Amino acid sequence: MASCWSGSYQLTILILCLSWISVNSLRTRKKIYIDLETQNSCFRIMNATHQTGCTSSRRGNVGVLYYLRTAADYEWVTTKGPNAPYIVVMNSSDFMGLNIKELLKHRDRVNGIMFISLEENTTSLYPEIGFSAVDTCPNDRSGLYWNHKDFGSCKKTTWNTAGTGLLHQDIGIPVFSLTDPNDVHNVLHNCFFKFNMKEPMQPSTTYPLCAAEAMSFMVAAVDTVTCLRRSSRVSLSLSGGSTFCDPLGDVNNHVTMLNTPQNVTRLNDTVIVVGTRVDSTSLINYQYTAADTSAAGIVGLLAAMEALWKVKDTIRNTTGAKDIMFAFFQGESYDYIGSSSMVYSMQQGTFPQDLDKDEDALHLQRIRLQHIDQFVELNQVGYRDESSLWLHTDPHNHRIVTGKIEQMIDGLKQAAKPLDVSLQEADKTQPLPPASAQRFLLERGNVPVVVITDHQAEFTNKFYNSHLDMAELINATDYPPGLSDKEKYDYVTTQAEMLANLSTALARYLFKASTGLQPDKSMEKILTADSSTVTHLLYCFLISPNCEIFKETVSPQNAQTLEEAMLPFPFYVGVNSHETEVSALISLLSARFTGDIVNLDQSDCKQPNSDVRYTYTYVQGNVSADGKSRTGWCLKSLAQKTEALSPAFTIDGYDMMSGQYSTWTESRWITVSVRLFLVPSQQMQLLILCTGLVVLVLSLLLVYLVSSSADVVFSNYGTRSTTPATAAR
Amino acid sequence: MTLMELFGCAFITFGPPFALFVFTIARDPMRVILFTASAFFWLCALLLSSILWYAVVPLRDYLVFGLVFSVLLQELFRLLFYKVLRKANDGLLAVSQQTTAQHVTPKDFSNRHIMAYVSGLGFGVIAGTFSIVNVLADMSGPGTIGIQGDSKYFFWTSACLSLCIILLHTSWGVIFSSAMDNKEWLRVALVVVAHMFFSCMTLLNQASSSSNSHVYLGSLIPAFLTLFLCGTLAFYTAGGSLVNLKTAFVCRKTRYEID
Repeated sequence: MASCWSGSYQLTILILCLSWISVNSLRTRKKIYIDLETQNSCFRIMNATHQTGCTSSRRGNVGVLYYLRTAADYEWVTTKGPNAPYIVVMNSSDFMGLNIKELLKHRDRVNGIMFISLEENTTSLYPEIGFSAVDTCPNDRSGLYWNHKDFGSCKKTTWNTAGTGLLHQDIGIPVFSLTDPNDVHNVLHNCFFKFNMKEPMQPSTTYPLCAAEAMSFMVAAVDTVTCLRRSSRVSLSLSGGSTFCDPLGDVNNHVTMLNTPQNVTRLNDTVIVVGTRVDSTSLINYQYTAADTSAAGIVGLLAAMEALWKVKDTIRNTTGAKDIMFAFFQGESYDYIGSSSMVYSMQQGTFPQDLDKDEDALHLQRIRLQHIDQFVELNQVGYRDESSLWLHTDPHNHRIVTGKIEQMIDGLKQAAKPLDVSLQEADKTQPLPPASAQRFLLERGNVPVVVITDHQAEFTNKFYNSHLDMAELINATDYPPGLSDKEKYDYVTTQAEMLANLSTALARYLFKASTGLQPDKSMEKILTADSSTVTHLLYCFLISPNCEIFKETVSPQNAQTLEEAMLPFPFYVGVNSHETEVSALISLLSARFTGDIVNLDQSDCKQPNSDVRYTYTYVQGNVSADGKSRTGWCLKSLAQKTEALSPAFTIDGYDMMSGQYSTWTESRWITVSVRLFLVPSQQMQLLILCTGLVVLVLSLLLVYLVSSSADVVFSNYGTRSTTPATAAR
Repeated sequence: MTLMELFGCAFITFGPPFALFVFTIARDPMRVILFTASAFFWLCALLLSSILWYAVVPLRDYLVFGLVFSVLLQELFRLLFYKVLRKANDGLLAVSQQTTAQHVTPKDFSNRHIMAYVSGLGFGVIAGTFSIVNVLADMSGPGTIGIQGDSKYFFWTSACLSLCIILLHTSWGVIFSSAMDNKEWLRVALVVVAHMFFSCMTLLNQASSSSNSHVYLGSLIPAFLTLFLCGTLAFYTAGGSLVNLKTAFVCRKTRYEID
């Protein structure tokens, strides 16, 4: 394609007027700008007191592009280079706390940051010292130990040593991640090396230079309180008021073993809660891989659920068996949104179902905090410290319910022993790591709590809550070479094997804790988590959601969405108006693993009005014998969803400053984009402008002179022209 | 920001036409009407050529095809406008005379070159505007052209060529109208050929669009040469001559106003 003017001045216009498809290819803009595909931007979130994250100016931040590779490059950008402001590009392995903080100190010279997170890149993706978007003591403010004299602010153990705290810092400039190979090529080879580094090791300083415009303007500002006030302002505009931010939130999923209706009394200490967190976070939108942070826990819990529900009849038929509740807490990365919301509704007596809504129908009996018998939490379980998993307890809690906790630890260890799963107790004087259970302990200190994690003291995962918490780091992708996608899906990875054993141990422990019965050999055989389920789920959550087990478990309406999904679904909690795919899938999988297939077709697959304890879910089911259509299953289960929205947003007149509940909101934004272009030299620009002015002034002068004496200048017309009209004069 | 480029190019393209408009057209409502009407006729030509280009699907990718027919259609509409003007002459005269003394024929009607010049300028301004406006729109910044390897003289060339076409249309308007009046078919043909030559020459820019080639500016030389020739011809056609110029400016002080 040559320049668009060159063809002809008319034709450009013709094309512009008529075919907007061609317009796109011929607009001059296309010759000036290279638009990058990337949408992976850091954005602004806010709590009651601060705004954190990134934003650009309203029209985008512009800076000369510079690719940082050596220490000298940093110096060039922050002090020496004459073409400031710069927008810097860095390798993923250099994108770490220290470097970024150094750049952020020079925000007058650094107008934006992009980093290359592409696996094909020759350099490693992973910074050696790790990277975690949250701070070194995650969720400290909202946890059990806030202001605690011994444990507060991680005085005893600093959990997240790789923590950078960037997520909770007002970065103030746009940060983008480049994941598309084309983008990286454009940035490096069509821009940086071509114009800004024409000779190796010698940065070009003369214009034209290649620059970038990073646009990620956030419409909300200051803090949640201010933003909510602005959003609720009465607006006179016809299009209605505008909302600037939305509270973070989603749904919690849980399943109970027993269908105790509201007319049966629930005794105290009769519900065993097994929980895990669902979400993780990262600095960069769309890059919420959470292999160790949460996916391993989710999959472990789901597999244990599948195993345990195989013996549901035995448990349900045992008199005095305790209820077992599997809970998946959403939004835990942002000050325990899910668990605090569940605890709050337990206190309000609206958990799991609001009985007051419809008193005639059968509901599940309330679960309150005093009904909880014990709380087992599966935290990060991907990287095992000394190839062992660690059982953490709270020192205070351990002191007041010693017997029960010892019993739990023994039970878990016993169940794990024959399975080659090493479970050890972590230091008893050490507080609990960041865990949902903390929110339960805050409200009821004597719930026996055991948290199962992969770290003895500080996190073994150096990429906790970051975009680099990848499946490959927890051995969930150790495939032999040359496998097709289908074979990868079925291949039982090392992590899957280990996780399946853990799930088995958990299922057997829960069976015994609930019924008090020691499972015999045949029972043990049934109570075994399926390692192929585990590997399937790991594959689907971490590598590609377009996989068989997900396909079987989604509703026919959502099949298309799943089909089109190329990347793993993000584990970010998102805003409360939107249910995340991960939550939806956990709900569907819970229904599948715990429910019965009832013989109803799609239109009849719904809850009867008289009994609302059960959830009826219609899913696609497996491929039928003819190999074309899917059979369709109507699943009747006790899988439930409850709102995971911080009570701060639901309690009337809640004091946002109290710090009791999460107050995180996410700003809205309009466009997120990056484009590359050349900036002309000042001389060239001045030259054009001056020429223009000279032309204007000269022509005004000339035309004035000629027109004022036009009669003389054009005095020959009468003599030269022989037309009748003029001749007549 | 490239606002300087934007304004520079805008001044280059629209400076001379602006001056012409302000000093020769704006003060006379009849001329403004004529100016607008001729612009409208150019737009009609554009519409027709667009339809043609859109309809002939197989040739849509060939610039030459659309170009040639567009030039022919523009010339056709120039002819049409000329015919319409001649037909409307009496009516326009009547309208004009309502405000002036009844017995004096207004200058616009006595000197037909004025009408031809006004309609030519209208033709030119609209053509020039359409050729530069999308470039100007994208010029506002923050980037300039070149990242895709295009010539950095693109904006210069666009602005200058647009200026050329505006002034050329003005000249052609004068030449064409007078040639039609006098049935000088050679001159009519000359206008069409010059227009075709100018348009086809811009096709050459494609060949030299590499980033730093000065050749890109090369097409400006024949363009301005054409402008010079056509302009001179129009000048003489309209009754100008070097002698007159000399009289007007050099001997200005001794000249008497005889209006």
